[in-house]
Amino acid sequence: MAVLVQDPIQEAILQVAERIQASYEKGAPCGMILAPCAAVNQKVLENMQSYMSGFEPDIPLHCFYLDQSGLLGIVLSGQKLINTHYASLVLKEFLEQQDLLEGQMAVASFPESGELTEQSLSQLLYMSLQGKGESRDIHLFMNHGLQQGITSILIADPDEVSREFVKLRLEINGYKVEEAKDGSEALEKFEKTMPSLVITELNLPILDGYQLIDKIKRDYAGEGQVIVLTDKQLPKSMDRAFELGASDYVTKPFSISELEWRIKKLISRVG
Amino acid sequence: MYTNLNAAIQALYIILAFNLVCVAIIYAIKLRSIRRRKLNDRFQTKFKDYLTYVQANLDGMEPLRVPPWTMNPVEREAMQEKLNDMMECFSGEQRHKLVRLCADLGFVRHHLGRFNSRTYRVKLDAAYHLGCMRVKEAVPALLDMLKEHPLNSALFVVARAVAKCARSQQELEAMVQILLQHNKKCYELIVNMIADSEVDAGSLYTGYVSHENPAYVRIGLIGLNVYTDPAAAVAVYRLMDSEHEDIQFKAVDLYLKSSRLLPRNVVGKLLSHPNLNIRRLTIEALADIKNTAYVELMKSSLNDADQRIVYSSAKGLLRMGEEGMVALCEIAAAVQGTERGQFMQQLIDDEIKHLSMQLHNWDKLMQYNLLMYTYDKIFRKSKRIYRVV
Amino acid sequence: MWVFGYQVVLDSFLKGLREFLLNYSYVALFYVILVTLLYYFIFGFSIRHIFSIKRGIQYNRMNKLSSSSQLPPVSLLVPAYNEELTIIENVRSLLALNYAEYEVIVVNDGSQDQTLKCMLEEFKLELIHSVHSSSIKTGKIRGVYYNPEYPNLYLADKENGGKADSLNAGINLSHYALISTIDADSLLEKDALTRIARVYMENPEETVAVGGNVRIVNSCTVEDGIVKDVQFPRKLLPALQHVEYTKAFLGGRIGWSAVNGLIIISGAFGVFQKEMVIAVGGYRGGYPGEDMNIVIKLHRHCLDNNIPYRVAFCPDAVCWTQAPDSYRILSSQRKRWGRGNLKNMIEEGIHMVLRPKYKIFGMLTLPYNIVFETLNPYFRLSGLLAILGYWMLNMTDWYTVVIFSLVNLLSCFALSLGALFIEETAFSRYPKLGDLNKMILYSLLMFVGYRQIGVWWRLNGHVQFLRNNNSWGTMVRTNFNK
Repeated sequence: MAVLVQDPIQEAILQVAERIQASYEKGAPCGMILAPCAAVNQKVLENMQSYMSGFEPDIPLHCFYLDQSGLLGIVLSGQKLINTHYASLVLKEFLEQQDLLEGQMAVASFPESGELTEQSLSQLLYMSLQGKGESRDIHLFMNHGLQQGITSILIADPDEVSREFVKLRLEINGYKVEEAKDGSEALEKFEKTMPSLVITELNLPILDGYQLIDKIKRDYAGEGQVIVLTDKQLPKSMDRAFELGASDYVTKPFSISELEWRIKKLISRVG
Repeated sequence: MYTNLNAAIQALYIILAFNLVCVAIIYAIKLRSIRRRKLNDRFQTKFKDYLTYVQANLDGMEPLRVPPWTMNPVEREAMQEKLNDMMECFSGEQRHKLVRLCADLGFVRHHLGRFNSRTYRVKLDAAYHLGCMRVKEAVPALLDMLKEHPLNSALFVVARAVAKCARSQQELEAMVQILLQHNKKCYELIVNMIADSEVDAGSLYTGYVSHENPAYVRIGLIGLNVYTDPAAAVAVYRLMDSEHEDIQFKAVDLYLKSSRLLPRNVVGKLLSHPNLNIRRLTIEALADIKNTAYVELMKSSLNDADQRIVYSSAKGLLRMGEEGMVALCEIAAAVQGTERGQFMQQLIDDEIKHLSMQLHNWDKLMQYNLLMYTYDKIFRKSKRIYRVV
Repeated sequence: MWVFGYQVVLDSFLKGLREFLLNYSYVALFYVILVTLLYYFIFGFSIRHIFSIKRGIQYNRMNKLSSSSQLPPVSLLVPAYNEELTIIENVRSLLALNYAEYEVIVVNDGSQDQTLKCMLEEFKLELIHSVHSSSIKTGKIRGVYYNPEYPNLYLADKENGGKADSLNAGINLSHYALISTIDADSLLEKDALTRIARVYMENPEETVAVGGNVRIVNSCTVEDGIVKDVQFPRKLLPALQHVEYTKAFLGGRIGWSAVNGLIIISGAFGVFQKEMVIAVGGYRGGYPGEDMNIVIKLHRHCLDNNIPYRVAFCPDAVCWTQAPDSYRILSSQRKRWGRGNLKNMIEEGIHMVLRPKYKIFGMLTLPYNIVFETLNPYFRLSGLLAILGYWMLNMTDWYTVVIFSLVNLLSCFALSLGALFIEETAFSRYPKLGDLNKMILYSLLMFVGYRQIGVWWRLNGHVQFLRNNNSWGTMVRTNFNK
């Protein structure tokens, strides 16, 4: 993999690595936020520091600005992902008020985001450099390496809330996730990406869940496992789903940790 | 005529003014809803990051924190809606975290305050939101509102809010009692509302089936329908002889679903029950269990007077493996030539044809072979004198 | 001498005529004021109830309810005659509704085209030998088709017998306690059945029938059986029908159902208790207007036997239908309605009108329907003649006539505004402001010709009835998106 090795980046990596190492030595996790920004001077840095201290009074922040790459960075020692994520919201609000933000922000916390290596750090920096542009979203950086046994997951659900949630959570846990709003889109994406796991609702428009399961099992036998995630609780529905070849059945309201555990169990059983 | 004309002209002016006022009101409503939609879209983009934060961190020990900026009332409403959607979708610890977030955002206090308003519209809106946020402190006040509420659609909104907020079975019972006073047999809706509650209603329903009031018995039976364990079977056993037909039916349904083992005398009694639907229900339950011990009993159902029962029995026997198929074919062959026999033979033919289209499935292939073999063996035996080899 | 006598006769005749016309004017005034007051009364009820309905919609989460196992199972009956172009699309969309337990029974009414073949091929249906009850006598059923891969779909093929006969056959075949009549070309919204089920569940025993709302789909974008982009119709006739339907459904039916005097549930989408329908003998065949007929029979049966009941209307359960956009088809539809209306009034209405035993239905709904709907053309005609008479006898001038007709027009227009108010308050389905402008414009335009033609069509319908003309007319099937 070709990594842009320029001197500024190398130096940035060194700087950042130093700080994180300092925190690591104390045995605590370390959070990191990178944001592409316009010209930031010392005064701005100071304002930012005081603004953020307003929200996080006890947390030590190390702010720095990499002139060459135009990246503003904050290292939060001792902070896990949740607080780092929250801090990024605060930071974004500040930057938008000052109209300084120029692209997507990257948020990470080690070790939750993966192993702390030079490669992962450079990937993180690369990702934030790539983030320059129109979109202003906050992105979570995850570098778990591919989950064993799963190439990708396809989630099919017309309900946005649960679909987005499952996609987000699985992506955070390192899975690659495709989504589909209805049965025919699900079948298309299945044929295109051949995921090893499909999580589907039963009540899909156009092509319903049962037919989707049937088609997958019939035409692509052995390729995809199917977990049904639905709010239908009738035993008839369960029976029918299993008869058609579903591997598991989870009812809504559901707990995401239970779903993840079932996914792991399924993989270990099959793989 | 002229005085009429004056009156008419005055009426014209009045009606014209009235129309113009109506048009103005309609446009006002429309413009307001357009504005709301725009503000809502703006909310979606602005709060996308915050909602990502909430979704990403729904698990774990740490509480969710409120957005690090102040929100205007429209944004607060939109946030409440979004959180309501999420709270419906999740359960358990995750929902509790969202509820705590609502409390931190001040929504709980806000709606508790609104609930004391004298305007009915505001009070109902607050009741709905308190229900979504499962605020347990609101239950007594909600029950009061429920008691005085007239019978209309909003009554059930309040009742559902009570169910969602309830933390004990007594509170649920109070809700049920108030609803039953209106004497509309909305039992399914009551069970549906109790299902929204966090309280485990299993023992509530078990208590209800032994109640003296048939309304409670019905609620209990409908509620127990999703708790199909042997304890339920025991509880409803005596209800199968109830004087109310619908209670009988529901009790039989529950009994058949819950028992692992069905004693032969009970099955025999049910198969000869005067109620057609109960006979059919029994046959289907036996076919689902697929226990060949019942094949003998089902054979007698093939002689039933009602064609629908014969149909169900035949279909059922075909699902019960070799013994079932043999039994069906034997009886079909025995009454060959009669209308009943012809009917049974048609059903067998249908099944053979249907199975022959699914031969890629291993199970169906086995069934197909079995049925063909049984069919040939039995029917060829009775047709032997006509077959030229 | 003779000329003098002739003059006297003529004078006294004219004097008599003037008196008659004067009295007539009072009667006409009384008629118009009465009908307007009645309209306002019903509309007032509609508006009063819309807030309660809106709250019921706002505070009930349909998503969760639609998968609940407590929802009552429903049999959808879809009579189909010569529907080869759209039947597959529509059946697929019906099979994908958001509802826990239901079945779709398509009844092929001896179609002359490839409807049956299309269905059999598309869904790979096979002939089965099923058993059905014979609670209602129907035409001969040639076969029932089924495929276990589509466990909720049944196709019954029968000899041609008309829509009512097909519905009765579907009733015989259905397995559930609730039946729903759907037109083969209507597009049901995904949660429509759930919304009706909610209304039903609040009072299951007494709700014998629930009607859904029918909206015009012309010019809306339809993809995969879902209406994606809702727009006001572009062509003239569908636009006029749109405002007409809005006024009738939102302004009229909500109010009528609130007083339990609803006289009709649209054949395009309505849900009934099967037992009740069987108890009144099923649908009356052989003549149009069977949708009004079944509701009248239900009212009569329940009132005769003192069964507490209600016929409800659920305005948020939407069924999209294509409105005829050519004069020929629209006129034949309206003549048919006129025929059906008259037949229903003569067959059923006469027995119940103005008898206190039949409560609101007999004392309010039926007289309203007979006098202000069925007999409307005759009053209007006589009014026209009277105005002619006034003019010829110089009893009035155009100024007065204009004033009076303006008053009449504006009072009716206010009702259209009432219906639009209901639409904007509770449903707000048309997001564009321009569509609201068009709706108000066409509501005004309705009075400049459309209503008058409607009267003419209704009159024609009566003439056809008296001539015993009983054809169904033509409805050329096109695709959606026009």
